[in-house]
Amino acid sequence: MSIKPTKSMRNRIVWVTIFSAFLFAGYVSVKLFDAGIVKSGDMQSMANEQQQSSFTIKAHRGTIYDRNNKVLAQSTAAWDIIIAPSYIELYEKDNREFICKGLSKILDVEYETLAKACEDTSNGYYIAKKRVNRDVVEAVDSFILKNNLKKTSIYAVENSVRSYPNGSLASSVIGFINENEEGYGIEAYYNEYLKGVDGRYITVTDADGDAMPYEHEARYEAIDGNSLVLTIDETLQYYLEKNLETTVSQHKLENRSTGIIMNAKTGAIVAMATYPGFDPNDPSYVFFEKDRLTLAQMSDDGKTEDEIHEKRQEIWGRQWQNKAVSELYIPGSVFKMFTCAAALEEEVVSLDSTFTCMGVADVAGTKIRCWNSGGHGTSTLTEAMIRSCNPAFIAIGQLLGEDKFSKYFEAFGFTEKTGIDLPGEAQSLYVPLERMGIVELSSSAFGQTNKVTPIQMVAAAAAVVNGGKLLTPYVVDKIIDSNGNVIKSAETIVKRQVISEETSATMRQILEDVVTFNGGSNAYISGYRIGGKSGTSEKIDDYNSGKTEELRYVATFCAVVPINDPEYVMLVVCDEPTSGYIYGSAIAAPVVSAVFKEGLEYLNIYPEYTAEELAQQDVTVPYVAGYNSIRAEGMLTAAGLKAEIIGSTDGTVVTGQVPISGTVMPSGGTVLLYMGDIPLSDYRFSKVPNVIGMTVEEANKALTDAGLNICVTGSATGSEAKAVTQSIEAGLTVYRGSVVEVNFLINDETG
Amino acid sequence: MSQGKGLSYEQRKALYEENVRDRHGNKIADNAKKAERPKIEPIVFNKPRNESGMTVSLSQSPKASQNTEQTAKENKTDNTAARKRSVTPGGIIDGLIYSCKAPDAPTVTYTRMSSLGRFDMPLFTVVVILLVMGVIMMSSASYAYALKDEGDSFAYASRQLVAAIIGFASMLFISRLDYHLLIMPLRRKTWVKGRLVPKENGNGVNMTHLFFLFCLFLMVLVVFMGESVNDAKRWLVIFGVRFQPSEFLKLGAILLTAYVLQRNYDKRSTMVCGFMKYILIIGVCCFFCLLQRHMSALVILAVIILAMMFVGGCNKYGFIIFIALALVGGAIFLASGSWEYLNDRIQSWQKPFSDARDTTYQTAQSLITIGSGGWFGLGLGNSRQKYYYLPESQNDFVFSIICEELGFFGGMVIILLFVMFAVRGFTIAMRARDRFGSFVALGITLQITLQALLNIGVACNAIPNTGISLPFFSYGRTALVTQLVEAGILLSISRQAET
Repeated sequence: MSIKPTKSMRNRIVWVTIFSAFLFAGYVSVKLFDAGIVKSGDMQSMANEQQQSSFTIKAHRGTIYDRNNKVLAQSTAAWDIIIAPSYIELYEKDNREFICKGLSKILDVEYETLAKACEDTSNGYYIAKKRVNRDVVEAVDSFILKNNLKKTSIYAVENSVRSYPNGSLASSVIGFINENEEGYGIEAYYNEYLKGVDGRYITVTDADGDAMPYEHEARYEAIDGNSLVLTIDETLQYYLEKNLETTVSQHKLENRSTGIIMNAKTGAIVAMATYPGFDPNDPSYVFFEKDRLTLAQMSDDGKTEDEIHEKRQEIWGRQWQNKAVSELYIPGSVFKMFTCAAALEEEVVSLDSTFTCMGVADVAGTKIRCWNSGGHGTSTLTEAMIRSCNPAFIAIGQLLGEDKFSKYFEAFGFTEKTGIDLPGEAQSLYVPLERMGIVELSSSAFGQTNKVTPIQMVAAAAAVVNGGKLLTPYVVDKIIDSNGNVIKSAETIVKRQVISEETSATMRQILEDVVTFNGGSNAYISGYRIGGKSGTSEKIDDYNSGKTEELRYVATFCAVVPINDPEYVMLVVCDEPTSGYIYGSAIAAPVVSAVFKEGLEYLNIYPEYTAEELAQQDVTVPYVAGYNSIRAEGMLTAAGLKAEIIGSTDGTVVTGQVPISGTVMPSGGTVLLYMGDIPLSDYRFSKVPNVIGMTVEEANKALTDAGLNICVTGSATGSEAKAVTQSIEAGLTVYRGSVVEVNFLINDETG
Repeated sequence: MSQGKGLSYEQRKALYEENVRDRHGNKIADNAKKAERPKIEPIVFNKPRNESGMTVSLSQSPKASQNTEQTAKENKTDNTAARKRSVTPGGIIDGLIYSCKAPDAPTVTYTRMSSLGRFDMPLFTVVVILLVMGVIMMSSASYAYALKDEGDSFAYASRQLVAAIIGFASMLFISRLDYHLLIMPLRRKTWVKGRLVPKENGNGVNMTHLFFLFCLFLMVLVVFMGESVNDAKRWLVIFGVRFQPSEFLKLGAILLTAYVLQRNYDKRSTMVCGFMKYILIIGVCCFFCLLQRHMSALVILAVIILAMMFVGGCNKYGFIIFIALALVGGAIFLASGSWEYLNDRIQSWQKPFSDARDTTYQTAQSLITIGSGGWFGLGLGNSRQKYYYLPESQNDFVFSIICEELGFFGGMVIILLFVMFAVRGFTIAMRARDRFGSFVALGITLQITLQALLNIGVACNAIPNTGISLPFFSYGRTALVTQLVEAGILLSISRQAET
């Protein structure tokens, strides 16, 4: 009997060996191969993901300047404070409340908000506060350091704030951009230039977020965005928006109005406004009062949140759109200048051609009425322009014919986008040659069929007056990199010669005549040579489609200054006036005139007065109190005023004057001087007469008769112009000699 | 003494060698002649010891072997008698006692070093490579944590090195001892008819019993004065030395089981001697492991003892009953509320990235670590994951760091080294001089191999996370010394094996 291991023992040991040392080891090896080699790629990227901390170095977004290097939009550094609830759960579970309390104090955020965010322990990224300044970041850092917290739990990420110092000024041009880099205006169009390239800073860190002792790090510097210098002039832009605002409120425009000032020689847009715009600092605020009321009404009416939201989206979409390039309108009579230019260029008409208007034209059975139902009788080409006579232009259009009309329609750039460097340019709607019949031709000829964008109109108008060159408008003059080097500079692009220099010269003359006829239109500014054309179009498509209950109008005016050597072309489009006035001449022309009056001097274009104009200059009443009568009278005469002395002049001095010093009044007016101790009750009084509806001459006479002075406002002083407002209400008794401002306006399509 | 006078050195030496006797009264000279190279032959029970003339470490007493036939006859009559007497209660008890009584163990003698066989170079080489690699890799893996926890990057490494040196010395020393020391009865004489006479068999208390009891004593101490690390109370601090008694218990249980198996081999098919005794050992071990909530030690111990029982040819019905009981026990265990804990483990095994921040964090990080290495790794010392991403990088997950630094290649080298260790260990078990040696070699080899493969399996997510350390590599001084002592025992068994 042996005590050696038996055969069965040996056999069974072999089995144990096979199971443990071979099968099990084989299985483990296979799994090791799977984990170490097959899945190696995935695992390595996961390892990198957790070991490499990559910090984004935010590129500084470029600044937007106006053409005088005034800042329109700029970015300033700011930081977002991020907390990682998942890491707080992992490392500082017991400190959670303490952290939330500490942070809420530093960041000025509700404790409950933070505590609630920390409860979502699966979340690794919660923005505790956006856009804080450096002081707050330092406070958070020292809080982390002092309490020995993990940098993975709380940290700051660089961000930036985009600020627009002028608020809503030029908002439709500048636009804004959201976090998804979607937006409007230059901010969106030039985003690629402005945004720059974010840098990255990659380090290999241990699980606590500290750098590993011997691993290298990589740093890719951020490339700051380029800055833009616009062709926009902040001051002109301000004048334009200010006057648009006045018109919008004065004429109760139901739609936004827009205005463009373009350099006629280069195509540079000097001002471009849409009013009401928005504030890029807070784009979601609804600027248009009408829309605000609509929204408030909807919530009062108990509409659902979805409906209100939908409406709000619609309003936002409209508010952020640049009307000058993105919306179409019917150009109306302003278009007559293109028909006229084309007809002159093709020599189908001349300045001597005459046209007869009977108030209505019959085109292939369709009756087209002139705005003046009485008819204009016989006019020359220039007179037809001045009177804006529709039948005359129907005749001119028919003389041109469909082929040539379409050719020039295309040549003036109405069938294509202008190519302005702004997003969302709309495509015009027009009757193509194939579908153009005599009726379409006739109505197109005076601008009532096709729909174009304001920017197309401005570019085409510039071509009419600048010698026939169609230019590509642009708003960005220069692109400058962060070191100040110009990397791209805008050049004037001449698309084509549309009309000849001679035709253009003729057109300049006609357009000047339109403004200066008969003592001047509403756009006339004394001392300047201005050309222009008004337009009033019927929004016949909206009316026909039932969008508006009554027929609405678009009042426009296009002006060129100086007309002898055109520098600036300006177009003002006032959409849907509801004040009772409808004509472009009455609504849009005063805007043009007001902007030019302020703007041209700013642009160093000074008025050159004729002798006649000089005589009519307004003067400022000097301060004459305290002087004796002779001296006072002399001072007034020197200022171009007359004096009427009341009371004894013997040894007395002037104790009162009407109007008082500083008042602006027309030269040749009379100032009443009260001598000695005359009590106020003994001053002379006058009753203000009603001058509304009178011509300048009539009004002047009425006021002078009443012993008052007249101050004429408004550009038109011809016989067509009628007083529309007076500064002192009729029937009131005022000091004799007071100045009454009377505003005159030509309320028809003339001009 | 006087006979040596006036003789030459050679004559004196010859005289000395002729007369010197070993402790059994045999003349060394007789032995030396026949044991120029110890020739190990099959041991035959009834062969008279002195006739065989060689160093016998284990043998049946001559008297017993002469009376083998007679004993068998007696046994037979005893059986019949027992059957006849079974009607009375006393008879039943006698029967029970008989069935529970182990056969006599053979006499155990100690053999001196000079008479033992050759040192097992292959096993020794594998162990040394594992040990050296283990210390190096452990220092690399513990670098970051040591710096963070102790302020000294090599704090763990230096301590492990001390343990490695102590363990290595112990291994060499133990390999030079005869492993039969473990089962030599402590009382060598017995009273027969009022006289103290030398024992004729190996029955009685021996080292395996004492060591096992000592281990149990330490396990009890842990319950009362243990130290807790990571919510588990498994450590004891005695005289400033901190250690895990459960590491000792594994060895103690293996040795005791091996002794019981070899003594009861002839009665292996009976329920009590062939099954119940081992279940008792497993039960006692499990009880103490459960007290410490040391599941991995429990599972390893149970598997090793069951494997030893399987090799020892134990009662197959017992096995079936045991497995049935284990299933029922497992079901009760699962039902009793520890379900979540296990569920998490299984979830992290099947979907290691499903909750990578929390419950599956260890497994996910281990896989990332292994995958980071690719074929040849990032280079020694270049692990990134050891910077606090991978928990327990110096301990349970040292293998992952090896794969990250030395790649799949390095990992396979480790696996192959353990396979070589296993093959060598199991070969020793098959060729051991006797069954005790065979069972001990089997148990030790199985323990180290199983622990290694389970650990590696966890690291590469081949099996659910069990929390077993990697022998020779993981940080743990008790474990390292114990493993080297076990290697020493294997080397000692190998000396007398027919290799």
